[in-house]
Amino acid sequence: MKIIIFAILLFYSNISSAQDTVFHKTENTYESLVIQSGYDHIYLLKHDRKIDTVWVWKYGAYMKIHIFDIVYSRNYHISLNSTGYDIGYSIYEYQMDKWQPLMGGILAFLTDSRNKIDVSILDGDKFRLLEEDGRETILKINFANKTLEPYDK
Amino acid sequence: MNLHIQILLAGIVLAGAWNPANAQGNALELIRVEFWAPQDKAGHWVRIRKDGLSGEELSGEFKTNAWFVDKTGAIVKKPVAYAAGATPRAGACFRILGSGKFCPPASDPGGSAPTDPAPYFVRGVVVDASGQPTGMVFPTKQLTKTGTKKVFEYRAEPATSAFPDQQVQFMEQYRIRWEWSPSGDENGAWTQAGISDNRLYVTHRKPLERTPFFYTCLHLGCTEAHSETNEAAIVAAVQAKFASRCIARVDDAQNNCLKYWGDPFRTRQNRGLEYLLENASGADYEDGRCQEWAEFFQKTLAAQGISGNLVTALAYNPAGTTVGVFDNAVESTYLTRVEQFFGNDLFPTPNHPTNPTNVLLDNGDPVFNLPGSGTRVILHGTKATPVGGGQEELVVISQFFVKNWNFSAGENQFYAVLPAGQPLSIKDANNQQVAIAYGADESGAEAQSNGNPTAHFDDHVLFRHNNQYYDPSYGNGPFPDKDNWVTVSLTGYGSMILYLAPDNARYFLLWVHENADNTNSGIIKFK
Repeated sequence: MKIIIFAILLFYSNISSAQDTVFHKTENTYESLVIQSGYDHIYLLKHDRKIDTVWVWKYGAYMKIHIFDIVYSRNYHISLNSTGYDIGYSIYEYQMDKWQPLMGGILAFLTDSRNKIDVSILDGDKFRLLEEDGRETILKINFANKTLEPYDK
Repeated sequence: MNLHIQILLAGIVLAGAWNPANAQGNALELIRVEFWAPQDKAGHWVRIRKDGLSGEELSGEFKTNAWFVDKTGAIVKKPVAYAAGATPRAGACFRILGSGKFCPPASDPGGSAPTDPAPYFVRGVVVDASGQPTGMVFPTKQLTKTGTKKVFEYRAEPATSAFPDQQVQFMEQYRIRWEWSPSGDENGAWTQAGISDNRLYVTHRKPLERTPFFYTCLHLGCTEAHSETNEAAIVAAVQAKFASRCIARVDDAQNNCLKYWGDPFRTRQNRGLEYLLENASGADYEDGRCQEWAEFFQKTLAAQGISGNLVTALAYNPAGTTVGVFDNAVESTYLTRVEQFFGNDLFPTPNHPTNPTNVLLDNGDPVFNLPGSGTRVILHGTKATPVGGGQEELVVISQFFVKNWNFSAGENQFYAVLPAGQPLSIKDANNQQVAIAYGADESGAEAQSNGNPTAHFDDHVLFRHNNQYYDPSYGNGPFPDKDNWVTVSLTGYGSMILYLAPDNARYFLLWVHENADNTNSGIIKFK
């Protein structure tokens, strides 16, 4: 399996011409790496220099995904990103020796009157949204129910 | 001093062998040149603002220290700008060579004679790159003593001639050779004290605003339209630069081309011309929407004293009176197709009617209450209470699609925002395929430093000048009228949908109501 993954990585790393590293973060023994290659976003998670997972999202031809953060927490891989139209999240869970999508969705749509929002991942299980006018919303991830729930500090 | 020595010194002076210029301690050294707003035409002084977010003004409200020696001995330069027809006014400051002294802040005497004259006369001769006089001179004037005995001021004086009327100019080096003499005799012995040089811009007319212009706006207009004297030629020259689709900030050493929708998230967050012109550390800036690009074009011309206004293109219902949203007839057609195509499972409530509570909308819903998994479809719309009251209604927001798209499957169809022909499997909550949408995106239309930008919009901002339309985002124009812009720029009309796939990926789909052609350009209105 690892050989296949490496082959995919090498393919995207070496053969594809237009590729950018759109996100890279090292956290403890984990390394998150997202590469945009043509129309694809390739998500890689490395542990002790070994690639744990690979998955690919295809996006619109002109889209560039803005990634705010990726957090590896317990058995979850949580990413926070934007297409420019929205602010979305994605959570993958490590199950049966592979990473599988658990839940994902939109935290906010960006509109003419709502375009400046700071977002972050807190403690590996919450999302924080801070609006331009100072309003703060914290949403706790309920991994079991696959929902986001308002969280009161 | 004994008599013999006095006689010897007198002899040397009479013989002309003693030249003060060569005498360390007496020769003058140029250490600052400042330009001032013209006395008679204050509005012809053009203020310059540093590009970006800092708000720092490069020029002063009435004066700019354009060339000076700082405390470390380095020469610092700043740009200066006047409107054509203005007579530039300059002042300067000198010190006794080797004294190491510095100037106090310049004062503006308003043309009066020196109040405390120093035994030096100074003139400034404007010269070209080869040192030949251009004909413009800052006239001979006796220096004024300052509080420091070894520093003297040439208080602001207008040049002997004005910049030619109407003519745009850019001088990378506006050079003034400063000369001093112990007497004011024009034909006497003059010694060079230094040559100042700085960028100098001359705009076509008095700018439309007294507030400072971004440096790049001024630079672009004056460099592209250098030597032009008529408005049409200046607008054409600026348009030609925008048509190149590669415009860099004036002080960007890397010459990065400013982008149109380069990073959609940043583009959307960073609103305002100052963000487009901000230094791109980390590629966060130098990126703008149509609004910023249209303003960029507008301000570039405004600095030249040329007016124009921004116009917004919006999609309009062919049969209705509403702009920017579907009327009831189109909405009904649309929702019928949505239900046909996606089936009921992708909506919170099966058999969704036009009741907004039964569909997910991107504009107005508390979206984090969406279910966290499964597939979902979100329409581009909002809710509104009907005139006269009653239950909230669904309002679908219309869009238009900027070239290039391949909508060859026809109208009243759904297309994925993926490369043309690429299939996208739409799956329901049970991970069963319910439909296939085919990609329709083709490269282009090429925009500012972006060969394939975002291409579906609720609106688009253009610039109108002299009843012609310019599209600075794409570098296109002029268009003689709205219909011409529509024909050249658009592929179709409709609305968009967001589809959340089982693997958490998000996809845009377009519903094409009508392909754009010569018969339906009336769908677009300019406001």
